[in-house]
Formats: sequence, C-alpha cells, structure tokens
Amino acid sequence: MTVDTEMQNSSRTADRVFGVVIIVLAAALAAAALSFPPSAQDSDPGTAALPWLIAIALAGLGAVLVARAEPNTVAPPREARVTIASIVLLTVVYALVFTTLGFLIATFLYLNAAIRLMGERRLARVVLISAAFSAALYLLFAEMLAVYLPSGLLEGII
Amino acid sequence: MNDWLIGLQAIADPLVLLLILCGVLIGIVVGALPGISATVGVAILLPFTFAMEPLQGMMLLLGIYGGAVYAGSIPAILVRAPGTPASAASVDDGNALTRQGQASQALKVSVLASSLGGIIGVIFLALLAPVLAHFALGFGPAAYFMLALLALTVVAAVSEGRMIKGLISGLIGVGIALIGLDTIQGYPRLTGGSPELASGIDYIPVMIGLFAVAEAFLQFERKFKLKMQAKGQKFTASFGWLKKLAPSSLLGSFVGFIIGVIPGTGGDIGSFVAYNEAKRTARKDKKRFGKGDIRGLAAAESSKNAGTAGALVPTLTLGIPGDVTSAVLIGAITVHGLQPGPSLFEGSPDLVNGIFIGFLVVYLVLLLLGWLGTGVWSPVIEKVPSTYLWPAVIVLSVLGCYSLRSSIFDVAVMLVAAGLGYIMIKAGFPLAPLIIGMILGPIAEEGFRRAMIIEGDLSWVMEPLPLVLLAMTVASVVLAVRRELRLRRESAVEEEGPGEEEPDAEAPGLEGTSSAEGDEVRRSQ
Repeated sequence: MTVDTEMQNSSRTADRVFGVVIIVLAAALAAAALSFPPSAQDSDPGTAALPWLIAIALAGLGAVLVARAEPNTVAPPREARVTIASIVLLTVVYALVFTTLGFLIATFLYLNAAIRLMGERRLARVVLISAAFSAALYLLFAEMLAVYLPSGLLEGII
Repeated sequence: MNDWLIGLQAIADPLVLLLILCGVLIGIVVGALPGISATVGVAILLPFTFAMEPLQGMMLLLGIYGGAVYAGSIPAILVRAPGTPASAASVDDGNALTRQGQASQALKVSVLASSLGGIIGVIFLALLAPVLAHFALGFGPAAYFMLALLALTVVAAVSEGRMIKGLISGLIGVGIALIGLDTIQGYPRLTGGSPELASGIDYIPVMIGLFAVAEAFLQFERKFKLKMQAKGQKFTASFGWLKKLAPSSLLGSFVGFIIGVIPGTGGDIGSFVAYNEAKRTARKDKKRFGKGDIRGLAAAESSKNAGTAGALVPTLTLGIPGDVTSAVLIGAITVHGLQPGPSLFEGSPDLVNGIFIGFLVVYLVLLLLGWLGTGVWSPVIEKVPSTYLWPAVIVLSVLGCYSLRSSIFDVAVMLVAAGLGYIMIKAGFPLAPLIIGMILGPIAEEGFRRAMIIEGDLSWVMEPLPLVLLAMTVASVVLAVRRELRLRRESAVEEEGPGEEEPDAEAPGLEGTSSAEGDEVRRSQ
C-alpha cells in the first residue's frame, strides 16, 4: 500500500472509538469492583482499591483519547481483508482441534492451509514442507525434549 | 572468587557451549528478520528450554537475545529497516555508509561495537549484580512498590509521542493482572467463577500472542519481502580505525549499561542516548554524524548490546524485568521453580555465575561469528522464505503455550492476546507497557498494601530508599511530559527531517522520535 492511500484512509474515528471502548471498560471494571469485599485491616486499602484506581485512570485517559484523537489507519487494506480474516479464523480452528485431532494432524493441516494463504502455489512443496515440519517438531518436542503433546486421532499409533 | 569457578565449571560443558552457539546463530537470523525482534525470538523458543536444566535453557535464550539485538542492525545498515527496535539509532549513520559503498565497514563496526558493548556490559553486570542483590535482601515492600512504580512510569514515558496510548496499554496490563486471587485477602477478582481464571493469567502466553502471533497476522496482510544487497568495497580493519572507534564504543557501552539497568528500558532507548552523547562529545566535527560517521554507529551499536546486560541487573537481582525480553527470561527461570531475586544469588550460585560467564561467552561467540560472517549473513537471511516462516511462527507459538501446562486454556489466552495485539499495533498502542504492567502491577499492589499494613499509614514514603525511587519516578514523568509537549509543538510547526538537529540530550531516552519512526520504516515497506 502506498503512503497516499494510507493518508486517505486514515481518520480520527479509530482513536475516538478506542477512547469510548476504554471508558466502557473502565466503567465495567468499576462496576465489578463495587461487589469486592472491604479490607480486613484498617490501614490496608483493600482488594477493590487498585481496580478503582485503574478504572478512574482509564476513564480519564479514554476521555483524553477521544478529545485529542489523531488520524491513523486501523482497518486492513481492502485486498488483504479476506486473507487476514482467514488466517485468524484458521488459527482459532487449529487451537480448537489441537487436542482432538492431535498435534501432528492438526499442525499438518494448519500449515498446509496457512502456507497456501501466504501465497505459495506449488502444492507438492506445501504438502512436503508441512509434513516435514510437523514431524520434526513432534520428534523434537515429544521424543527428545519429553514435552507432552496430544496424539489425538493417532493415539496408540505413535 | 570461588563463585566464579562454580560459574566457569557450569559453563564448561560441551552441551552448554553448543546451546550458546545455537542460540547466537538463531539470534542472528531472527534478529535480522523484520518483525521478529529479540523478544519474539526468545518467547517462541522458550518452550525448547522447559526440558533443559535452567542454565542450559538460559544459555540458549541469552544467545538468542545477544545475537538478535546485534543482528537487528544488519537490515538497519543495509536497507534502513531495523530488525529490532534497539537498532533504530543505527539507521542514519549505518545506512549512509552503505550508500557510500562502505557496507562492509559498517557491518564490521556494528559487530565489533555490539560485542564490545555486550562484553563490557556483562563485566559490569557480574560486578554490580551480586552487590545489588546483597543490598536488595533488605528491601521491604515499600521499596518494591516504588521500584515497580518507577518501571511502570518509565515504560509508559518512553512510548515517544504516544504517552497516552502507552499509559492506557500499561493500565490494561495491570488490569489483566487483577484477574485471579488477590494475594493479600485471597479474594477471587474478575474470575466470573471460572477455576482456570482463579489462578490468574500467565504473562508468557499473553506475551507470545501480543508480540509473535499478532506480528504474524500482520505479515499475512503485508507479505513483506526483504531484499538486502551488500555491495561495495572490501574492508580491512587497521589499528588507526580501532583507535578511532574506541572512545565512542566505550562511551556507548557505559551509557547503554546504565540506562539498561533502569527497569523497563532495556537497550532500545540507551542507543539513542549514547548516539546523542557521542555526537555531543565529538565537538568540532559533529557535522558528519548522521551522514555515515563510524563513531556514531559505534556508540549506538555498543550501547544497545550493553543494554542487554544492564537489563539483566534488575531482572536477576530483584525479579523486576529490565525490558520485555528479560521478562521472558524470568519466565524461563520460574518455570523451573526458581525465583529471580536476591535469594537466587544465595540459593543457586552456579546458575547466577554461570549466567554471567555464559553471557560473556555469548558475546565472544558473537564477535567471532559476526566478524567472520559479515558477508555471509545477509544472503542467508534474505533466503528465509516468509511464506513458510510466519505459519511456522504461529505453530511454534501454539505449541509453546500448550506446553506451558499441557492446557489449551493458555492457547486460548494467547489467541485473545494476539487479536488484541493486532488491533493495538494497528491503532498505535505500544505493546511493551502492557506486559510490563502485567508483571509489575501485582508487585506494586502487594508492596503498597503490605507497606500500609505494616506501617499503618503512609510514613514509609519518607524512608530514604522509597523517597529516592519516588524522586526518580517524578523526574521521569516530568521529563516525559516535557518531551511530549515539545514533540507536539514541533509536529504542529512542521515535519522536520529525523536526527538532523537534536540539541537537547538530557532527557534520557526520550530522543526517540526516530525509534517510532524506525518502526514506521519497517511497517511501511
């Protein structure tokens, strides 16, 4: 993306939205702190003191951010939106199936998809590298370093 | 003296030496790659150390730390794109040399000064840390509260030109650390009844998500391609050349170490301060600075690596991280059931002294590899295919978080942090304050409340040590606010060229417009 388009896309809206989100967060924290018990000793400021302090400071800073918003570009460039959404979704799915499918299968599938998403088109290469990398990591961690990795579907086979 | 022998004995093990070598090699490669800073390198390779002895693991990580902080300057010098933030101060002079066909000389200056800075820094570390650790045995909760407060302010204050966002980031970190049992009353805060949240959120998955995975997501968006060409004349070092470099390298090492010791700073800021100091002391011929002066480059380079050793001082003696990378090192020690702090020096002299001697070996290895490999590294680094690299980084991150406790919960935490980090980077919120806040928030709260319980009132503030630390905190706030106001005025007047004229070198580390700018250079490519 060139500097020109970045300038065009940038606006103060993002900072203002973040400012409001931070104020809301501060309010939520303060609301939660209301139900915290009082301190057991007189001189102890208690378990709610720090949450209150954070809430007040965050609310103030959020307000400053709204007031002094500066232009910046937060949304990803149009042509990259599908890619970025896909990799985030893909990674979440990877984490979800990590234990059920097992490290080897999940990682192999994830790498296949992610490397292709990165723009690699040579299919045989993608499959080969994904397989080699997952197997190497498994051997290194599970066998050599004795770190427990879920075997999932391959339970009893490896 | 006996302690040094223990340390030497611990290091004189072929496996440990091999790990140092691997660490430095990995460090050089990851440090030079844009997007993978020393922090990311150390964080994603942390799980490799879980099954090792504490010292072995530390040697691998320290090798990566030293190597990566050095190698960040390779792309800074060759293509104006610092591989790690600490190298941002090397961009102007280093890249000017490259454009004059002196790339080879610039790379030699870089490796020599970085290694020298590291070696001097480690010697200071080894001399200072035991004394400080002994002194710190007497630190009460009030001192810890003030130290944590100082580090929190410094880290927010050095978010140049983005102090509001730095403070927000830090407070969010402190807020995340609220989750879990309150250490004094044992009350579960913000857990929503979840047993997993009751034990709190570990900062290692948060850090891996924020730094490594968020950056990986960004790389999917940008598909960055690094092109580094080191053309130009060959260079052979001469005695006169070394003599010319010596003063600024020594100056850089001192400055870098001292600033590195301040909790929360590390090498990123020291390099700018050292650069400005070298420029100031050059007196009559300071005009060449910024246009390819090897003295400026040497000052920045020696300082950033001396800062790595400086950062270990508060990390090892107090358990308060000197910078974000040393926060991971704390994780690498605590995972073995050891606690950085004064007691570590008494309980594990082999580990502590092994770290000192091993870190020295790291820099000797770096000098050797870097000097011999000046021409070799850039083509190797250029060949690392980002198409495979970033998916691999995510896999390593997931694997690393899972292996912390064999639990998918930490992976979930990491993913949430990755999403948060992605948004924060895009919206211009600095990430480091969040992690430092997460680590120091609980130390500060516990220190404050214990001090209040013991003393009954605020009288502990007037004790000598807390008072000195409070004064330093106030000073850092004042300097930061002044700097912030001046930045705003300057940007309101006009956009001036970076590093052209910067007469005021007193505000420590706040000379960092170009640090944020170096980041911009990296991001806009």
